[in-house]
Amino acid sequence: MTKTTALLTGVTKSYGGTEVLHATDLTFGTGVIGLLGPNGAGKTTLIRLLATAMPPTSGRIVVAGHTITGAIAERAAARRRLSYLPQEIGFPRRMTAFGFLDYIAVLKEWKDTDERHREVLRVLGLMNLADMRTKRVSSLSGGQRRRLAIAQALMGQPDLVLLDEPTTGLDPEQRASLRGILSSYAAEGSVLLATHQTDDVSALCDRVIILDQGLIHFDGSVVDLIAKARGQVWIGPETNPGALSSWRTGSGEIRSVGGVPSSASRPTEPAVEDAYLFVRHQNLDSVGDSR
Amino acid sequence: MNEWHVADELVAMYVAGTLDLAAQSSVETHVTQCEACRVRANDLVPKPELDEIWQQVVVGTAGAELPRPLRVAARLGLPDADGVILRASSALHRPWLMSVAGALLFAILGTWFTGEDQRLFYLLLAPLLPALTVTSTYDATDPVRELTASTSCNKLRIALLRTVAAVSVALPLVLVVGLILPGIGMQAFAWLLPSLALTLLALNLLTWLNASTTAGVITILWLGFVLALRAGDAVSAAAGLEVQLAFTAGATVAAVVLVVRLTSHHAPGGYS
Repeated sequence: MTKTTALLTGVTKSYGGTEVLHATDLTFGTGVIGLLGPNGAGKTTLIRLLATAMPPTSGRIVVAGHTITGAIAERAAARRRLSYLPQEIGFPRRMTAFGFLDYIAVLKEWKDTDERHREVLRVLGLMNLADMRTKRVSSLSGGQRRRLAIAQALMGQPDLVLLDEPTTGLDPEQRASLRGILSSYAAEGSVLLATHQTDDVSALCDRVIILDQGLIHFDGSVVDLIAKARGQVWIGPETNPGALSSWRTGSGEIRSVGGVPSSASRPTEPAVEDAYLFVRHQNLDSVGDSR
Repeated sequence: MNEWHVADELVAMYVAGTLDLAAQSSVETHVTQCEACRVRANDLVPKPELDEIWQQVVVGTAGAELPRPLRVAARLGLPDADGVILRASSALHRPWLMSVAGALLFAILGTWFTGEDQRLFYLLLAPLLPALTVTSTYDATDPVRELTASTSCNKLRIALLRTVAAVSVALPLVLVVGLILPGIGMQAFAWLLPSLALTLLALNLLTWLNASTTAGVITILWLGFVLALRAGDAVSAAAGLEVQLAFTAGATVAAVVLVVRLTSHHAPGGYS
Protein backbone atom coordinates (compact mmCIF):
# COMPACT_ATOMS: atom_id res chain seq x y z
CA MET A 1 0.00 0.00 0.00
CA THR A 2 1.81 3.15 -1.15
CA LYS A 3 -0.64 5.89 -0.24
CA THR A 4 -3.94 6.14 1.61
CA THR A 5 -6.69 7.22 -0.78
CA ALA A 6 -9.69 6.76 1.52
CA LEU A 7 -10.30 6.18 5.19
CA LEU A 8 -13.53 5.27 6.99
CA THR A 9 -13.73 5.48 10.77
CA GLY A 10 -16.80 4.21 12.62
CA VAL A 11 -19.02 4.86 9.61
CA THR A 12 -22.66 3.78 9.87
CA LYS A 13 -25.70 4.33 7.69
CA SER A 14 -29.33 3.93 8.66
CA TYR A 15 -32.50 4.27 6.64
CA GLY A 16 -35.62 4.97 8.68
CA GLY A 17 -34.13 3.54 11.85
CA THR A 18 -32.72 0.41 10.18
CA GLU A 19 -28.95 0.25 10.19
CA VAL A 20 -27.86 -1.01 6.77
CA LEU A 21 -24.16 -0.41 7.35
CA HIS A 22 -22.85 -1.17 10.82
CA ALA A 23 -19.81 0.61 12.29
CA THR A 24 -17.18 0.24 9.59
CA ASP A 25 -13.47 1.01 9.66
CA LEU A 26 -11.60 0.69 6.38
CA THR A 27 -8.44 2.05 4.80
CA PHE A 28 -7.88 2.01 1.04
CA GLY A 29 -4.51 2.23 -0.65
CA THR A 30 -3.49 1.92 -4.28
CA GLY A 31 -4.72 -1.14 -6.12
CA VAL A 32 -7.98 -2.75 -7.14
CA ILE A 33 -10.29 -3.69 -4.29
CA GLY A 34 -13.20 -6.04 -4.92
CA LEU A 35 -16.36 -5.60 -2.88
CA LEU A 36 -18.34 -8.82 -2.82
CA GLY A 37 -21.68 -9.54 -1.20
CA PRO A 38 -25.23 -10.58 -1.93
CA ASN A 39 -27.94 -8.14 -2.96
CA GLY A 40 -28.77 -5.84 -0.05
CA ALA A 41 -25.43 -6.48 1.67
CA GLY A 42 -24.58 -2.76 1.83
CA LYS A 43 -22.14 -2.62 -1.12
CA THR A 44 -23.96 0.19 -2.90
CA THR A 45 -24.44 2.05 0.38
CA LEU A 46 -20.70 1.92 1.05
CA ILE A 47 -19.88 3.07 -2.48
CA ARG A 48 -22.43 5.91 -2.35
CA LEU A 49 -21.06 7.10 0.98
CA LEU A 50 -17.54 7.23 -0.45
CA ALA A 51 -18.88 8.96 -3.57
CA THR A 52 -20.41 11.69 -1.35
CA ALA A 53 -23.80 10.94 -2.90
CA MET A 54 -25.19 10.81 0.64
CA PRO A 55 -23.93 11.53 4.14
CA PRO A 56 -23.28 8.76 6.69
CA THR A 57 -25.45 8.55 9.79
CA SER A 58 -22.30 8.65 11.89
CA GLY A 59 -18.56 8.33 11.52
CA ARG A 60 -15.86 10.03 9.52
CA ILE A 61 -14.84 9.55 5.89
CA VAL A 62 -11.66 10.95 4.39
CA VAL A 63 -11.00 10.83 0.64
CA ALA A 64 -7.64 11.93 -0.77
CA GLY A 65 -6.87 13.69 2.50
CA HIS A 66 -10.15 15.62 2.59
CA THR A 67 -12.80 14.91 5.23
CA ILE A 68 -16.00 14.57 3.24
CA THR A 69 -18.09 14.40 6.38
CA GLY A 70 -16.82 17.87 7.32
CA ALA A 71 -17.07 21.24 5.66
CA ILE A 72 -18.50 21.75 2.17
CA ALA A 73 -15.16 22.97 0.85
CA GLU A 74 -13.52 19.74 2.03
CA ARG A 75 -16.24 17.69 0.36
CA ALA A 76 -15.83 19.61 -2.89
CA ALA A 77 -12.06 19.07 -2.74
CA ALA A 78 -12.61 15.33 -2.24
CA ARG A 79 -15.05 15.21 -5.15
CA ARG A 80 -12.32 16.56 -7.42
CA ARG A 81 -10.24 13.50 -6.56
CA LEU A 82 -12.86 10.79 -7.01
CA SER A 83 -14.96 9.37 -9.79
CA TYR A 84 -18.09 7.30 -9.51
CA LEU A 85 -20.10 4.89 -11.60
CA PRO A 86 -23.55 4.33 -10.07
CA GLN A 87 -25.19 0.94 -10.40
CA GLU A 88 -27.85 2.46 -12.61
CA ILE A 89 -27.36 5.60 -14.57
CA GLY A 90 -29.82 7.70 -16.51
CA PHE A 91 -28.95 9.78 -19.54
CA PRO A 92 -30.47 13.13 -20.47
CA ARG A 93 -32.75 12.83 -23.47
CA ARG A 94 -31.60 13.65 -27.00
CA MET A 95 -27.95 13.69 -25.96
CA THR A 96 -25.06 12.27 -27.96
CA ALA A 97 -22.32 10.11 -26.43
CA PHE A 98 -19.89 13.02 -26.76
CA GLY A 99 -22.44 15.48 -25.38
CA PHE A 100 -23.07 13.32 -22.32
CA LEU A 101 -19.38 13.02 -21.46
CA ASP A 102 -18.85 16.71 -22.20
CA TYR A 103 -21.63 17.51 -19.71
CA ILE A 104 -20.14 15.29 -17.01
CA ALA A 105 -16.72 16.85 -17.68
CA VAL A 106 -18.25 20.30 -17.08
CA LEU A 107 -19.76 19.03 -13.83
CA LYS A 108 -16.26 17.82 -12.92
CA GLU A 109 -15.01 21.37 -13.52
CA TRP A 110 -13.02 20.86 -16.69
CA LYS A 111 -13.07 24.53 -17.59
CA ASP A 112 -10.89 24.71 -20.70
CA THR A 113 -13.05 23.69 -23.66
CA ASP A 114 -10.28 22.17 -25.81
CA GLU A 115 -8.75 20.30 -22.90
CA ARG A 116 -12.18 19.02 -21.90
CA HIS A 117 -12.99 17.82 -25.40
CA ARG A 118 -9.64 16.06 -25.65
CA GLU A 119 -10.33 14.24 -22.40
CA VAL A 120 -13.78 13.25 -23.60
CA LEU A 121 -12.28 11.83 -26.79
CA ARG A 122 -9.61 10.03 -24.81
CA VAL A 123 -12.09 8.17 -22.61
CA LEU A 124 -14.35 7.48 -25.59
CA GLY A 125 -11.33 5.87 -27.25
CA LEU A 126 -10.47 3.93 -24.08
CA MET A 127 -13.94 2.40 -24.04
CA ASN A 128 -13.84 1.79 -27.81
CA LEU A 129 -16.67 4.25 -28.41
CA ALA A 130 -14.86 6.83 -30.53
CA ASP A 131 -16.95 5.98 -33.59
CA MET A 132 -20.12 6.37 -31.55
CA ARG A 133 -19.37 9.90 -30.38
CA THR A 134 -22.02 11.60 -32.52
CA LYS A 135 -24.67 8.91 -31.92
CA ARG A 136 -27.52 9.69 -29.61
CA VAL A 137 -27.33 7.75 -26.35
CA SER A 138 -30.85 6.48 -26.98
CA SER A 139 -29.63 4.71 -30.13
CA LEU A 140 -26.76 2.89 -28.37
CA SER A 141 -27.03 -0.73 -27.26
CA GLY A 142 -27.16 -1.64 -23.56
CA GLY A 143 -23.49 -2.64 -23.54
CA GLN A 144 -22.46 0.57 -25.32
CA ARG A 145 -24.41 2.64 -22.79
CA ARG A 146 -22.70 0.82 -19.96
CA ARG A 147 -19.32 1.53 -21.54
CA LEU A 148 -20.30 5.18 -21.91
CA ALA A 149 -21.23 5.27 -18.23
CA ILE A 150 -17.86 3.71 -17.35
CA ALA A 151 -16.08 6.22 -19.61
CA GLN A 152 -17.28 9.15 -17.49
CA ALA A 153 -15.71 7.51 -14.44
CA LEU A 154 -12.35 7.30 -16.21
CA MET A 155 -12.01 11.02 -16.87
CA GLY A 156 -9.00 12.69 -15.31
CA GLN A 157 -6.68 10.95 -12.89
CA PRO A 158 -8.85 10.28 -9.84
CA ASP A 159 -7.32 9.00 -6.62
CA LEU A 160 -10.44 6.95 -5.94
CA VAL A 161 -12.47 5.25 -8.66
CA LEU A 162 -15.78 3.87 -7.37
CA LEU A 163 -17.51 1.42 -9.67
CA ASP A 164 -20.81 -0.21 -8.80
CA GLU A 165 -21.34 -3.33 -10.93
CA PRO A 166 -19.27 -2.02 -13.87
CA THR A 167 -19.13 -5.22 -15.90
CA THR A 168 -22.88 -5.86 -16.00
CA GLY A 169 -23.90 -6.02 -19.65
CA LEU A 170 -20.35 -6.22 -21.03
CA ASP A 171 -19.23 -9.11 -23.21
CA PRO A 172 -16.11 -11.14 -22.21
CA GLU A 173 -13.84 -9.19 -24.56
CA GLN A 174 -15.03 -5.86 -23.18
CA ARG A 175 -14.64 -7.12 -19.63
CA ALA A 176 -11.07 -8.19 -20.34
CA SER A 177 -10.36 -4.79 -21.88
CA LEU A 178 -11.86 -3.01 -18.87
CA ARG A 179 -9.70 -5.07 -16.52
CA GLY A 180 -6.61 -3.79 -18.35
CA ILE A 181 -7.80 -0.20 -18.10
CA LEU A 182 -8.65 -0.46 -14.41
CA SER A 183 -5.26 -2.00 -13.67
CA SER A 184 -3.59 1.08 -15.11
CA TYR A 185 -5.72 3.38 -12.94
CA ALA A 186 -4.91 1.28 -9.87
CA ALA A 187 -1.21 2.03 -10.24
CA GLU A 188 -1.74 5.57 -8.95
CA GLY A 189 -4.96 5.28 -6.96
CA SER A 190 -7.66 2.98 -5.61
CA VAL A 191 -10.28 1.28 -7.71
CA LEU A 192 -13.16 0.00 -5.60
CA LEU A 193 -15.25 -2.47 -7.51
CA ALA A 194 -18.62 -3.63 -6.17
CA THR A 195 -19.50 -6.74 -8.12
CA HIS A 196 -21.17 -10.12 -8.22
CA GLN A 197 -18.59 -11.36 -10.74
CA THR A 198 -16.09 -13.40 -8.74
CA ASP A 199 -14.00 -13.99 -11.87
CA ASP A 200 -13.45 -10.21 -12.11
CA VAL A 201 -12.22 -10.29 -8.53
CA SER A 202 -9.86 -13.20 -9.08
CA ALA A 203 -8.52 -11.70 -12.30
CA LEU A 204 -8.12 -8.12 -11.15
CA CYS A 205 -8.24 -7.47 -7.42
CA ASP A 206 -5.34 -7.19 -5.00
CA ARG A 207 -7.74 -7.16 -2.11
CA VAL A 208 -11.27 -8.38 -1.51
CA ILE A 209 -13.86 -7.29 1.02
CA ILE A 210 -16.93 -9.42 1.69
CA LEU A 211 -19.86 -7.47 3.01
CA ASP A 212 -23.10 -9.04 4.19
CA GLN A 213 -25.98 -7.54 6.13
CA GLY A 214 -23.99 -4.35 6.61
CA LEU A 215 -21.01 -6.10 8.21
CA ILE A 216 -17.56 -6.84 6.84
CA HIS A 217 -17.02 -10.61 6.99
CA PHE A 218 -13.69 -10.75 5.22
CA ASP A 219 -11.03 -8.21 4.31
CA GLY A 220 -7.80 -9.50 2.84
CA SER A 221 -6.00 -10.69 -0.25
CA VAL A 222 -7.56 -12.98 -2.83
CA VAL A 223 -4.99 -15.63 -1.87
CA ASP A 224 -6.06 -15.41 1.79
CA LEU A 225 -9.71 -15.67 0.81
CA ILE A 226 -9.09 -18.78 -1.25
CA ALA A 227 -7.06 -20.27 1.61
CA LYS A 228 -10.16 -20.02 3.81
CA ALA A 229 -11.92 -22.57 1.62
CA ARG A 230 -8.96 -24.91 1.08
CA GLY A 231 -10.00 -28.46 1.96
CA GLN A 232 -13.67 -27.48 1.81
CA VAL A 233 -14.33 -27.89 -1.92
CA TRP A 234 -15.00 -31.33 -3.39
CA ILE A 235 -15.72 -32.88 -6.74
CA GLY A 236 -17.64 -36.13 -6.82
CA PRO A 237 -20.52 -38.10 -8.25
CA GLU A 238 -23.01 -36.72 -5.73
CA THR A 239 -23.60 -33.72 -3.48
CA ASN A 240 -21.80 -33.75 -0.13
CA PRO A 241 -24.37 -34.19 2.65
CA GLY A 242 -24.68 -30.85 4.46
CA ALA A 243 -22.94 -28.94 1.64
CA LEU A 244 -23.24 -25.15 1.89
CA SER A 245 -23.61 -25.02 -1.87
CA SER A 246 -23.34 -27.50 -4.73
CA TRP A 247 -23.86 -27.63 -8.47
CA ARG A 248 -23.36 -29.89 -11.44
CA THR A 249 -20.27 -28.88 -13.43
CA GLY A 250 -19.77 -29.11 -17.19
CA SER A 251 -18.09 -32.52 -16.77
CA GLY A 252 -21.24 -33.91 -15.15
CA GLU A 253 -19.66 -34.16 -11.69
CA ILE A 254 -20.98 -32.38 -8.63
CA ARG A 255 -18.92 -29.60 -7.03
CA SER A 256 -19.69 -29.19 -3.34
CA VAL A 257 -18.57 -26.43 -1.01
CA GLY A 258 -18.45 -27.72 2.55
CA GLY A 259 -20.39 -30.70 3.83
CA VAL A 260 -19.25 -34.24 4.43
CA PRO A 261 -17.49 -35.73 1.39
CA SER A 262 -18.29 -39.26 0.31
CA SER A 263 -15.50 -41.77 -0.34
CA ALA A 264 -15.88 -41.17 -4.08
CA SER A 265 -15.33 -37.42 -3.73
CA ARG A 266 -11.92 -35.83 -4.16
CA PRO A 267 -10.78 -32.42 -2.87
CA THR A 268 -10.13 -29.70 -5.40
CA GLU A 269 -8.49 -26.27 -5.38
CA PRO A 270 -11.10 -23.65 -4.45
CA ALA A 271 -11.86 -20.68 -6.67
CA VAL A 272 -12.81 -17.21 -5.41
CA GLU A 273 -16.48 -18.10 -5.88
CA ASP A 274 -16.12 -21.20 -3.66
CA ALA A 275 -14.31 -19.20 -1.02
CA TYR A 276 -16.93 -16.43 -1.16
CA LEU A 277 -19.75 -18.95 -0.71
CA PHE A 278 -17.87 -20.68 2.10
CA VAL A 279 -17.07 -17.48 4.02
CA ARG A 280 -20.56 -16.14 3.54
CA HIS A 281 -22.34 -19.29 4.74
CA GLN A 282 -19.91 -19.66 7.59
CA ASN A 283 -20.80 -16.15 8.74
CA LEU A 284 -24.52 -16.71 8.25
CA ASP A 285 -24.23 -19.78 10.47
CA SER A 286 -22.37 -17.82 13.14
CA VAL A 287 -25.00 -15.04 12.97
CA GLY A 288 -27.70 -17.71 13.26
CA ASP A 289 -25.95 -19.30 16.24
CA SER A 290 -25.68 -16.00 18.04
CA ARG A 291 -29.44 -15.35 17.70
CA MET B 1 5.89 4.83 -65.47
CA ASN B 2 7.67 7.97 -64.20
CA GLU B 3 11.35 7.21 -63.45
CA TRP B 4 12.18 10.68 -62.18
CA HIS B 5 11.67 11.58 -58.49
CA VAL B 6 12.00 14.79 -56.55
CA ALA B 7 15.32 15.16 -54.72
CA ASP B 8 15.26 14.56 -50.95
CA GLU B 9 16.23 18.15 -50.23
CA LEU B 10 13.37 19.49 -52.35
CA VAL B 11 10.86 17.15 -50.72
CA ALA B 12 11.98 18.36 -47.29
CA MET B 13 11.66 22.01 -48.35
CA TYR B 14 8.23 21.30 -49.86
CA VAL B 15 7.00 19.73 -46.59
CA ALA B 16 8.51 22.61 -44.59
CA GLY B 17 6.81 25.10 -46.91
CA THR B 18 10.05 26.95 -47.70
CA LEU B 19 10.00 26.59 -51.51
CA ASP B 20 9.16 29.55 -53.72
CA LEU B 21 5.78 29.49 -55.40
CA ALA B 22 6.96 28.16 -58.78
CA ALA B 23 9.02 25.33 -57.25
CA GLN B 24 6.23 24.50 -54.83
CA SER B 25 3.71 24.17 -57.70
CA SER B 26 6.11 22.04 -59.69
CA VAL B 27 6.86 19.67 -56.78
CA GLU B 28 3.20 19.48 -55.84
CA THR B 29 2.19 18.53 -59.38
CA HIS B 30 4.72 15.71 -59.32
CA VAL B 31 3.83 14.55 -55.79
CA THR B 32 0.15 14.25 -56.62
CA GLN B 33 1.02 11.88 -59.49
CA CYS B 34 3.95 9.94 -58.01
CA GLU B 35 3.14 7.59 -55.17
CA ALA B 36 6.79 7.06 -54.20
CA CYS B 37 7.37 10.80 -53.72
CA ARG B 38 4.01 11.15 -51.97
CA VAL B 39 5.04 8.50 -49.46
CA ARG B 40 8.42 10.22 -48.91
CA ALA B 41 6.68 13.57 -48.37
CA ASN B 42 4.14 12.01 -46.05
CA ASP B 43 6.92 10.42 -43.99
CA LEU B 44 8.48 13.84 -43.45
CA VAL B 45 5.27 15.43 -42.12
CA PRO B 46 5.47 15.56 -38.30
CA LYS B 47 2.89 13.02 -37.06
CA PRO B 48 1.98 14.85 -33.83
CA GLU B 49 1.01 17.82 -35.98
CA LEU B 50 -1.26 15.64 -38.15
CA ASP B 51 -2.76 14.05 -35.05
CA GLU B 52 -3.34 17.50 -33.60
CA ILE B 53 -5.15 18.69 -36.74
CA TRP B 54 -7.26 15.53 -36.85
CA GLN B 55 -8.06 15.85 -33.18
CA GLN B 56 -9.22 19.43 -33.76
CA VAL B 57 -11.46 18.27 -36.61
CA VAL B 58 -12.94 15.51 -34.43
CA VAL B 59 -13.44 17.84 -31.47
CA GLY B 60 -14.95 20.50 -33.67
CA THR B 61 -17.46 18.17 -35.28
CA ALA B 62 -18.37 16.29 -32.09
CA GLY B 63 -18.88 19.35 -29.94
CA ALA B 64 -20.97 21.46 -32.32
CA GLU B 65 -24.40 20.41 -31.24
CA LEU B 66 -25.84 23.26 -29.19
CA PRO B 67 -29.51 23.87 -29.97
CA ARG B 68 -30.32 27.15 -31.70
CA PRO B 69 -31.45 29.17 -28.63
CA LEU B 70 -28.23 28.25 -26.86
CA ARG B 71 -26.14 29.10 -29.93
CA VAL B 72 -27.75 32.55 -29.87
CA ALA B 73 -27.08 32.81 -26.12
CA ALA B 74 -23.46 31.75 -26.72
CA ARG B 75 -23.04 34.55 -29.28
CA LEU B 76 -24.42 36.93 -26.66
CA GLY B 77 -21.74 35.82 -24.20
CA LEU B 78 -23.10 32.69 -22.47
CA PRO B 79 -19.99 30.79 -21.31
CA ASP B 80 -19.34 27.49 -23.07
CA ALA B 81 -19.67 25.42 -19.87
CA ASP B 82 -23.03 27.03 -19.04
CA GLY B 83 -24.23 26.20 -22.55
CA VAL B 84 -23.27 22.56 -22.00
CA ILE B 85 -25.20 22.48 -18.71
CA LEU B 86 -28.29 23.99 -20.29
CA ARG B 87 -28.00 21.66 -23.28
CA ALA B 88 -28.09 18.73 -20.86
CA SER B 89 -31.19 20.11 -19.15
CA SER B 90 -33.48 18.19 -21.43
CA ALA B 91 -36.55 19.05 -19.38
CA LEU B 92 -36.06 22.70 -20.25
CA HIS B 93 -37.91 21.85 -23.43
CA ARG B 94 -40.88 20.95 -21.28
CA PRO B 95 -41.02 24.25 -19.33
CA TRP B 96 -40.55 26.23 -22.52
CA LEU B 97 -43.46 24.41 -24.09
CA MET B 98 -45.38 24.75 -20.85
CA SER B 99 -44.76 28.51 -20.78
CA VAL B 100 -45.90 29.04 -24.34
CA ALA B 101 -48.95 26.79 -23.98
CA GLY B 102 -49.77 28.30 -20.58
CA ALA B 103 -49.52 31.86 -21.87
CA LEU B 104 -51.74 31.09 -24.89
CA LEU B 105 -54.33 29.39 -22.71
CA PHE B 106 -54.05 32.23 -20.27
CA ALA B 107 -54.74 34.82 -22.99
CA ILE B 108 -57.71 32.90 -24.39
CA LEU B 109 -59.30 32.29 -20.99
CA GLY B 110 -58.55 35.86 -19.90
CA THR B 111 -60.79 37.31 -22.60
CA TRP B 112 -63.76 35.43 -21.13
CA PHE B 113 -63.65 37.52 -17.96
CA THR B 114 -64.10 41.23 -17.39
CA GLY B 115 -63.47 43.70 -14.58
CA GLU B 116 -62.84 42.24 -11.13
CA ASP B 117 -63.18 38.66 -12.38
CA GLN B 118 -60.41 39.24 -14.94
CA ARG B 119 -58.10 40.68 -12.27
CA LEU B 120 -58.87 37.70 -10.04
CA PHE B 121 -58.14 35.31 -12.89
CA TYR B 122 -54.81 37.02 -13.62
CA LEU B 123 -53.96 37.08 -9.92
CA LEU B 124 -54.68 33.37 -9.66
CA LEU B 125 -52.45 32.29 -12.53
CA ALA B 126 -49.82 34.91 -13.37
CA PRO B 127 -47.52 34.43 -10.36
CA LEU B 128 -48.03 30.69 -10.39
CA LEU B 129 -47.00 29.98 -13.98
CA PRO B 130 -43.27 30.88 -13.64
CA ALA B 131 -43.06 28.99 -10.32
CA LEU B 132 -44.60 25.87 -11.88
CA THR B 133 -42.24 26.23 -14.84
CA VAL B 134 -39.29 26.18 -12.44
CA THR B 135 -40.52 23.06 -10.64
CA SER B 136 -40.83 21.24 -13.95
CA THR B 137 -37.15 21.90 -14.76
CA TYR B 138 -36.12 19.79 -11.79
CA ASP B 139 -37.42 16.60 -13.32
CA ALA B 140 -34.66 17.05 -15.87
CA THR B 141 -31.96 16.63 -13.30
CA ASP B 142 -33.22 13.21 -12.27
CA PRO B 143 -31.40 10.99 -14.79
CA VAL B 144 -27.94 12.06 -13.69
CA ARG B 145 -28.74 13.39 -10.23
CA GLU B 146 -26.82 10.58 -8.55
CA LEU B 147 -23.76 11.36 -10.63
CA THR B 148 -24.12 15.12 -10.30
CA ALA B 149 -24.19 14.80 -6.53
CA SER B 150 -20.70 13.29 -6.51
CA THR B 151 -19.11 15.94 -8.73
CA SER B 152 -17.40 19.07 -7.50
CA CYS B 153 -19.55 21.50 -9.49
CA ASN B 154 -21.46 24.21 -7.66
CA LYS B 155 -24.99 22.79 -7.47
CA LEU B 156 -26.45 26.14 -6.42
CA ARG B 157 -25.10 27.72 -9.58
CA ILE B 158 -26.58 24.95 -11.73
CA ALA B 159 -29.98 25.23 -10.01
CA LEU B 160 -30.05 28.98 -10.50
CA LEU B 161 -28.84 28.73 -14.09
CA ARG B 162 -31.71 26.39 -14.91
CA THR B 163 -34.15 28.60 -13.03
CA VAL B 164 -33.06 31.70 -14.95
CA ALA B 165 -33.36 29.78 -18.23
CA ALA B 166 -36.89 28.64 -17.40
CA VAL B 167 -38.11 31.93 -15.94
CA SER B 168 -36.62 33.99 -18.78
CA VAL B 169 -39.21 32.39 -21.03
CA ALA B 170 -42.16 32.13 -18.65
CA LEU B 171 -42.04 35.60 -17.12
CA PRO B 172 -42.05 37.72 -20.29
CA LEU B 173 -44.93 35.65 -21.70
CA VAL B 174 -47.01 36.20 -18.58
CA LEU B 175 -46.24 39.92 -18.65
CA VAL B 176 -47.15 40.23 -22.32
CA VAL B 177 -50.45 38.46 -21.73
CA GLY B 178 -51.17 40.79 -18.81
CA LEU B 179 -50.41 43.87 -20.89
CA ILE B 180 -52.67 42.81 -23.77
CA LEU B 181 -55.61 41.90 -21.53
CA PRO B 182 -57.70 45.08 -21.49
CA GLY B 183 -58.57 45.04 -17.77
CA ILE B 184 -55.03 44.32 -16.52
CA GLY B 185 -52.64 46.73 -18.28
CA MET B 186 -49.79 48.01 -16.14
CA GLN B 187 -51.07 46.05 -13.15
CA ALA B 188 -49.36 43.06 -14.79
CA PHE B 189 -46.08 44.32 -13.24
CA ALA B 190 -47.62 44.12 -9.78
CA TRP B 191 -47.37 40.31 -9.92
CA LEU B 192 -43.63 40.20 -10.49
CA LEU B 193 -42.86 40.21 -6.76
CA PRO B 194 -45.46 37.56 -5.84
CA SER B 195 -44.12 35.52 -8.71
CA LEU B 196 -40.53 35.90 -7.47
CA ALA B 197 -41.57 34.96 -3.93
CA LEU B 198 -43.47 31.89 -5.16
CA THR B 199 -40.57 30.80 -7.38
CA LEU B 200 -38.11 31.08 -4.48
CA LEU B 201 -40.55 29.21 -2.25
CA ALA B 202 -40.76 26.47 -4.90
CA LEU B 203 -36.95 26.26 -5.04
CA ASN B 204 -36.88 25.92 -1.26
CA LEU B 205 -39.49 23.18 -1.25
CA LEU B 206 -37.55 21.34 -3.96
CA THR B 207 -34.75 20.76 -1.45
CA TRP B 208 -37.25 18.69 0.60
CA LEU B 209 -39.91 17.49 -1.82
CA ASN B 210 -40.06 16.11 -5.35
CA ALA B 211 -41.14 18.33 -8.24
CA SER B 212 -44.79 17.22 -8.51
CA THR B 213 -45.43 17.54 -4.75
CA THR B 214 -43.79 20.96 -4.75
CA ALA B 215 -45.98 22.08 -7.65
CA GLY B 216 -49.07 20.86 -5.77
CA VAL B 217 -48.08 22.56 -2.52
CA ILE B 218 -47.38 25.99 -4.03
CA THR B 219 -50.55 25.80 -6.14
CA ILE B 220 -52.70 25.07 -3.08
CA LEU B 221 -50.96 27.76 -1.01
CA TRP B 222 -51.39 30.38 -3.72
CA LEU B 223 -55.00 29.50 -4.52
CA GLY B 224 -55.77 29.64 -0.80
CA PHE B 225 -54.18 33.08 -0.56
CA VAL B 226 -56.07 34.44 -3.57
CA LEU B 227 -59.40 33.01 -2.46
CA ALA B 228 -58.85 34.58 0.98
CA LEU B 229 -58.31 37.95 -0.75
CA ARG B 230 -61.47 37.35 -2.74
CA ALA B 231 -63.44 36.50 0.41
CA GLY B 232 -62.18 39.73 2.01
CA ASP B 233 -63.07 41.66 -1.15
CA ALA B 234 -59.42 42.76 -1.39
CA VAL B 235 -58.34 41.57 -4.84
CA SER B 236 -57.45 45.10 -6.00
CA ALA B 237 -55.54 45.79 -2.79
CA ALA B 238 -53.19 42.91 -3.62
CA ALA B 239 -51.41 45.21 -6.07
CA GLY B 240 -50.98 47.87 -3.38
CA LEU B 241 -47.75 48.94 -1.67
CA GLU B 242 -48.30 47.02 1.58
CA VAL B 243 -48.84 43.69 -0.16
CA GLN B 244 -45.88 44.36 -2.48
CA LEU B 245 -43.64 45.06 0.52
CA ALA B 246 -44.87 41.88 2.18
CA PHE B 247 -43.94 39.86 -0.90
CA THR B 248 -40.55 41.60 -1.04
CA ALA B 249 -39.91 40.53 2.53
CA GLY B 250 -41.16 37.01 1.79
CA ALA B 251 -38.92 36.73 -1.29
CA THR B 252 -35.90 37.92 0.71
CA VAL B 253 -36.50 35.38 3.47
CA ALA B 254 -37.04 32.63 0.90
CA ALA B 255 -33.78 33.57 -0.87
CA VAL B 256 -31.81 33.43 2.40
CA VAL B 257 -33.33 30.08 3.39
CA LEU B 258 -32.61 28.73 -0.09
CA VAL B 259 -28.92 29.61 0.11
CA VAL B 260 -28.71 27.99 3.57
CA ARG B 261 -30.53 24.88 2.33
CA LEU B 262 -28.45 24.49 -0.81
CA THR B 263 -25.21 24.81 1.08
CA SER B 264 -26.14 22.70 4.09
CA HIS B 265 -24.55 19.32 4.68
CA HIS B 266 -27.72 17.26 4.81
CA ALA B 267 -29.74 18.96 2.10
CA PRO B 268 -31.52 16.23 0.14
CA GLY B 269 -31.52 16.03 -3.61
CA GLY B 270 -27.78 16.07 -3.98
CA TYR B 271 -27.41 19.80 -3.63
CA SER B 272 -24.99 19.86 -0.76
